[in-house]
Amino acid sequence: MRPLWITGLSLWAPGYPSLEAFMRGAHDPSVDDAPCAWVPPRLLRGSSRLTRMFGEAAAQAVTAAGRDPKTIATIYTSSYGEIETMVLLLDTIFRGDGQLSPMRFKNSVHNAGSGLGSIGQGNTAFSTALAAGRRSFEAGMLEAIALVNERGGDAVVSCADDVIPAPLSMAEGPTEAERRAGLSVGVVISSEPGQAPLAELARVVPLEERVSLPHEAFGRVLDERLRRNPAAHALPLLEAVTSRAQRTVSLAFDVSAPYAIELGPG
Amino acid sequence: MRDPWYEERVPRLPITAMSLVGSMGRTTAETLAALDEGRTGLVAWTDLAARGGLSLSLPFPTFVGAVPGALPELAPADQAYDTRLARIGAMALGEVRPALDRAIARWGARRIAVLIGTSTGGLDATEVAFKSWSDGGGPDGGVVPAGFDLATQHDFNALGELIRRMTGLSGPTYVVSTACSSSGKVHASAMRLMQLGLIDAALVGGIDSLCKMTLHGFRGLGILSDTQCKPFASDRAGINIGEGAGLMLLERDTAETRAEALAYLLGVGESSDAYNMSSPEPSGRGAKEAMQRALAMGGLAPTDVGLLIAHGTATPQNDVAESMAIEGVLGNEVPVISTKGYTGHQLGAAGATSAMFAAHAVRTNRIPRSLGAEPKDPAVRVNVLAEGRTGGGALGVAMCNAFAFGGSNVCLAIASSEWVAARGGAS
Repeated sequence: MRPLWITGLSLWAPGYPSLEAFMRGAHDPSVDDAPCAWVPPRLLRGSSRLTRMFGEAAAQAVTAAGRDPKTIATIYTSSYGEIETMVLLLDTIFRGDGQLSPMRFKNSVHNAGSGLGSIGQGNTAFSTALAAGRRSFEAGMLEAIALVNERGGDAVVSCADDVIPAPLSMAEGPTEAERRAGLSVGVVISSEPGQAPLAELARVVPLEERVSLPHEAFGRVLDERLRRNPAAHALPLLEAVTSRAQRTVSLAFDVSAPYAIELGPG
Repeated sequence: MRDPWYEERVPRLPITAMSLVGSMGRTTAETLAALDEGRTGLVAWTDLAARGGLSLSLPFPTFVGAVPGALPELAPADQAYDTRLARIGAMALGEVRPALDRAIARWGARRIAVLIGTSTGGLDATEVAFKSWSDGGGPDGGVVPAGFDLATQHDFNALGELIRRMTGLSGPTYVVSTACSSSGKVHASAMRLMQLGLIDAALVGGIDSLCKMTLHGFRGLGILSDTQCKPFASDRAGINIGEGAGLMLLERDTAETRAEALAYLLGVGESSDAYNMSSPEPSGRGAKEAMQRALAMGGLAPTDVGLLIAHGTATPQNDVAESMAIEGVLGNEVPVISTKGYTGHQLGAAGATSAMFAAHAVRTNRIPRSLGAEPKDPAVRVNVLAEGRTGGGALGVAMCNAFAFGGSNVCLAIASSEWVAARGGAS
């Protein structure tokens, strides 16, 4: 494996417009939708909040890394993806006239964020969309590390899941407290450290033991609804990188045979 | 001569097993026999009931490609994962199981990835649950059935987890879901993870099942054909939707795996149109880039390519844009076919199915006819074969395309073992 660096991080969640706000615990109830400035509003018509979260997390991480959004490789990863749009379409099929909106249908694919991001930026570089349940963040990181190891350059991982809409939320748990909150995170992996790398990504390590997702991050107890979001599996890495810790951090939790990365100095 | 950059870094991968399930057959042998004989698996949806198995009710005419007959149930221990998608996947997995067990003994379960493409995931089960809620009153008292589980049925990666449970594999496991390019792109992911040193083998492929969402959605877009699809024909009227699974075992190149190779994966090219969510860039720019990258990775010249299996969906726009791209990269003499006239468009499983048809073609030196291609559209200037071809020299290398919503493009280059041996052996 060639030397790689983590050069940018980001987070966007309802109530938290940035990683910095999340680290400080500065909750702002007025923050409810992601701006997603790197996709023009006309392209975002009929898109879900998840699509905008994907774009926002990617854009913030790429900006933090000082990389070019028009050429960076993009990797979007999510457990349930565009489930909000899918429920709207199912409603039209089973409770409406069955005539699906072409715009909605186009935006229902798992790679809607990938497509709109590349169109919005005119970015013809590599892009993909992955899904792996609780392993979704791990999947995005492995794909990004393998990609940058192969080709060099930069790749941004944008990992996000939003709330599960009714009626499918019934299948997730009987009470609101057991359901999840929206969360998106971004990580930029680079083959060149640039001026201010956050950490060296020294090695990918297969772990034999199942690791539990911590109940705390950035010095405080995590909201259980956030913790239930698969994107929360990125928080231990974000915490380790921002605190400049040099250690091995798992990329997936509460699953068998996870992978971890070994962090070196920035 | 292979590009030295790739020669140093990217392995050629022996394909040591493959399996196909779809409308043309419930097994690989049935499917490939139908391909060789030029028999379609597509039927009018109104005729499905007579074949047994899936039945549909649609408010519009169209043809579909459905796996015929009843699908075997999952094992009792795996019932939580039960969907039509999972059952089709389990059928395909059964055929590659002996080779997979050999690979596990060779490399260890931790060193084998599970990389599957799908566009529908377990949507077939979600639709049943949603209908039940709707029939029960919807927001006024409807309930989602207790047996429905989002994580083990709806979730795209339920497939990956089910395969882990059924096989004991414990390498990297994820789903690529970039609509219709999904199961082409998994091959590139496998090559990268191998190059990273994380794996020695990968079970790759694609699985999709028929569901109302895709049929109604493509109808809404105005590109679902009422009749059997006719890729590259002047009277083509859009796509048919199909379902199925294609699985392939890719292993690191050794003397042992070379001896078992059915064919070789030489290269994969990926690109993004950055143009429109559902229409291809009209000049075929992105498609061209994907093909050029596959050639470069494989160390191939256009003259090495004996067959191009096109994405060839039979929509007026796609077929013309793709033919321009093919002409721009390979010229207009290379034989071109679309297999959508056999299978319909299998969406998330399309890339994998095409890859296996390509492997079969280079192994047998047989090109199936491009079903429904006549009368050929004069705007399509490439060499579409309305009649099949047997013999007449080795095909050597076949390429196959898969393009998707979001402007996601992928192209695979697959060669016969003889071609690789003649070119100086494996890397």
